[in-house]
Amino acid sequence: MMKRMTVIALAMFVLASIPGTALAQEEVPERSATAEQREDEFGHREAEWIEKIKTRALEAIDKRLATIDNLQAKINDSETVTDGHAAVLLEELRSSAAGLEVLAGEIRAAEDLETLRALVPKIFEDYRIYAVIAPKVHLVLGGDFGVAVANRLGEVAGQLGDALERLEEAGYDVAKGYELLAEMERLVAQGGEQAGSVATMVIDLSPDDYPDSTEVLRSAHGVMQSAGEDLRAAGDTAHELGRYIKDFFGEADTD
Amino acid sequence: MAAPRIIAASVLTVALTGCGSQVIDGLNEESTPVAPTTTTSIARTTTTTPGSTTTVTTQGQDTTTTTVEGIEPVQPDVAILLDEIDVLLAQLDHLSTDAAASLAAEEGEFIP
Repeated sequence: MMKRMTVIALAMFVLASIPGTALAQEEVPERSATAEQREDEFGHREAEWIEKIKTRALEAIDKRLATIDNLQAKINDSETVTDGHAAVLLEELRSSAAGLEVLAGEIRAAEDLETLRALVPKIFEDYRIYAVIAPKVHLVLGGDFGVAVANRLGEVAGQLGDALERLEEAGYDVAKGYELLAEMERLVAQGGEQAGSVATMVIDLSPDDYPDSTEVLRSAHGVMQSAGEDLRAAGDTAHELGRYIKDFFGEADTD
Repeated sequence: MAAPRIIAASVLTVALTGCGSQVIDGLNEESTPVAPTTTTSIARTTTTTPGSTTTVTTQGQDTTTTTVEGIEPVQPDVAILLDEIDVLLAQLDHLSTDAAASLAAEEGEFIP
């Protein structure tokens, strides 16, 4: 009896262990499939991320190349920028464009995030197209233009002075006219000097000067605004002097 | 109306700032007395100098007159220059605005 019970118990034990064994064998294949899926998913996401970064970086480069083209056109179209300033600015823009083109090629060829993380910041840090170069070009063009305006105002002052001399020779008292002329000449000289200093303040700034360059550029713009105020005042004085001269003849406008 | 015998009609062309040229009657005791001429506006770009002659058509007849010595006319291009100055000053304002906008622009950096 005992022997029979032992055999039966042993058989039951064997039978009970079989499903567990089978179940254990089935768990191993499920864990391997999940890990592979995760690796595939990660790789797919990384590839997408790399493409997104490349696209955004290349768009940033294209935008800067378009800005460079625009700045080059403004320099070439300017009739008042000095030859020396134009040469410096155009060479800097040419060099920046060439460098950005090379960088774009490197970014396109990049195959991993680490490489992109090293390349992408160069777009901004090595060229500073918007923080330094563009404002610098605008200020140089504006400053040189202000000098040209001052020169033209000087010509007007000369001709108005000639008119005063002729009136004086004819016996008229033109002391007030000479006061206006002196004021006009003072404003022209002051405005012209300020305008001329603008380009000098910024022409040598480079991307490496950022962020200190920001303050210099803003100061130069302030000088340019001040020059503009003086030159506008000189223009107003010129008109006033013209009316003063006209009053000697007592004629109304015939325009 | 008869003009005084000694008074000779003469014509000066004066271009003044912002108002164009105008003609002013003057006196020249040495010139031959002539019938008075009608004051005529002359184009802004016309200039005369003392001693020169200017032909003016008056009442259908050509009348040669002599400019009076004394006041030389103001160079007519002063008015043109002032108009140009106004345009240039407006352009200077525009350039200053462009520079300000450029200074306000951001670099737009991003880090991957």
